[in-house]
Amino acid sequence: MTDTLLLAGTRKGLLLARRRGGSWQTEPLALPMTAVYAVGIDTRRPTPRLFASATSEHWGPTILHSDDLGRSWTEPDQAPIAFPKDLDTALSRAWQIQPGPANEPDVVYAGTEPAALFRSEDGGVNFELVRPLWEHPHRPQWGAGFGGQAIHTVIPHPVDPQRVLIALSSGGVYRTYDGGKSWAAANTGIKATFLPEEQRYPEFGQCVHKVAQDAEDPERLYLQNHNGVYRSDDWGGKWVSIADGLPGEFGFAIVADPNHGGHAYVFPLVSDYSRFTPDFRCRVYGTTDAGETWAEVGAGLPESEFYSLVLRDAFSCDAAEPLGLYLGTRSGELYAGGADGWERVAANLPDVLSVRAMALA
Amino acid sequence: MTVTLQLPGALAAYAGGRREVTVEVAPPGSVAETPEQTVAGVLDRLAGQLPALERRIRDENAAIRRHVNVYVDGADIRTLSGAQTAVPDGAVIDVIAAVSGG
Repeated sequence: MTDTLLLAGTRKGLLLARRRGGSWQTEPLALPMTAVYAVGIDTRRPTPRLFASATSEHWGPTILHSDDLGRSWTEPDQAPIAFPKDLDTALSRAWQIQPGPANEPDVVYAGTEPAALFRSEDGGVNFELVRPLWEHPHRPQWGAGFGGQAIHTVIPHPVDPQRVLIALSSGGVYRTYDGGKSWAAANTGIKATFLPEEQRYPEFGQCVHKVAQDAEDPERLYLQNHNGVYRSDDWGGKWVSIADGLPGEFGFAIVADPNHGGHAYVFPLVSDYSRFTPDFRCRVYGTTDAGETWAEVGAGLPESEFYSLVLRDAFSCDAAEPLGLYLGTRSGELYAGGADGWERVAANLPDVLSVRAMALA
Repeated sequence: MTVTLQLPGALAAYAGGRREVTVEVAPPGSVAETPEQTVAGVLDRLAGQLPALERRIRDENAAIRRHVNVYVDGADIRTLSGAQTAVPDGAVIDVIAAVSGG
C-alpha cells in the first residue's frame, strides 16, 4: 500500500497523519486553537511545500507553510494576505490555498472571506489581491452562505496560465481568460433553488459549493451545487446536470481523480432541508463515465446512525494508483479508502474542515 | 517615553518568548507627540518593531481585533477613547484574550 501524508485542518488545529507500511500514525495536533479552513500541498517543488490557513478567534488569520513535510511551520512577519489599505476591508480567513499550474511554479492562489482572490508569485509566502475581481460590478450583490461569504474554489487551467476559474458561496462561478484582468460569470445551467421558480437560473448568485477539474480533458469540470451536481465540457460555458443516479443532489464536496478522465466522487446528502446522508449511511458515490452513472464506493464507512456530514474541502484524494480518497466529518472522524474499502484514521477530532493528501516517495 | 506591553502566553512566541515588551514612543513636545501618545501610536511603533505580534492585536486597517481586550493602566480602552486612548509615560498596556470561541 502506498505511503501517504494526510493533512486534516480542523476547527481547532491541524492533524498530520502518515501511513507507512499500511499503518497510520497520527501526530499531536499542530496549530492548536486555530480553525484550519484550508490546507494545501504544492508538489511542484523537490520537497513538497505544505500550507495551512490558520485563524485564531482572538489573534486573527494567517497562512503558514512547511518545507519539511509538516515538522515545522513558518510564516512571514508581515501578514501574508492583507487587503490594501484603501479598501477598508479586513481579511477574515483564507478558505482555499491552491498551487498554480505546472508552468508557473511559484504561483499560488488563495481564496478568502470576504470573497476575494489573492495571488502569490513567491511560492505562497506573500499574496496580493487580484483587484479586477474585487472590483467586479457583481460583487456588491454576492451573498453569504451560513459559513460566510468566501471564494472556496480556485482552479487554474491546467494548460493555459491565462485562465483561472473560481467559485464562491454565494455568487457562483467566475472565470478569466486574461490572467485575471477581466472576469465573467459562468453559471449557465446551474439552478438556484433558493430563488422563486421563474428566477432560478440567474446569471450569477448561485450557491456553488465546489468545482473539480477532470484529469484528462482540460475543458471538463465537475460541480457540486447547493442542490445539483453538474458537468461542463467547455470549462464553465454551460453546465448540465449529472445528478441522475445519485441518492441526493445536495452536498458540499466533489473530487476528481487526477489520473483518470471521467472519474469523480461526491458525498451526497438528502437535500438542503435534510442535510443528512440518505438512510443515515455514510457513503461516497463515484462515477467512471463523467457522471452518466454513479455507484457506491467501497465498504467500511458507517452503515447506520450517521448524523454527520462532510464539508466542501474535507474530501480529497492523492494521486496514487489505485486512487486513495480521504474524508473528514463534522463529527471529527477521518477516513481513508476507496474502491477497496475504507478505514478510520482518526476520531474525536474537532470538526474537520479541510483535507489534502499526497503519496510519499 | 517608554511604555510596557504585557502579553498573554499565546502571544509570547511573537515577541521572542517574552511576556513583556517595551515600546519607545516619542517624547512630549516632539513632532509625533499627538499620534504616538495613544494606544494606536504605541501599536504603530510595535508594528515596526514586532510586526508578527502587532498583526495579532490589530487587523490590516489598524482596528483592534474584536476578541482582543486592551487595558491601559488597568482601564479597558473600550470604556475610554478606544485606540485613541492616551498613554502616559511609563504606562502598562495589557493585551488580553476576550471571552470567545468554543
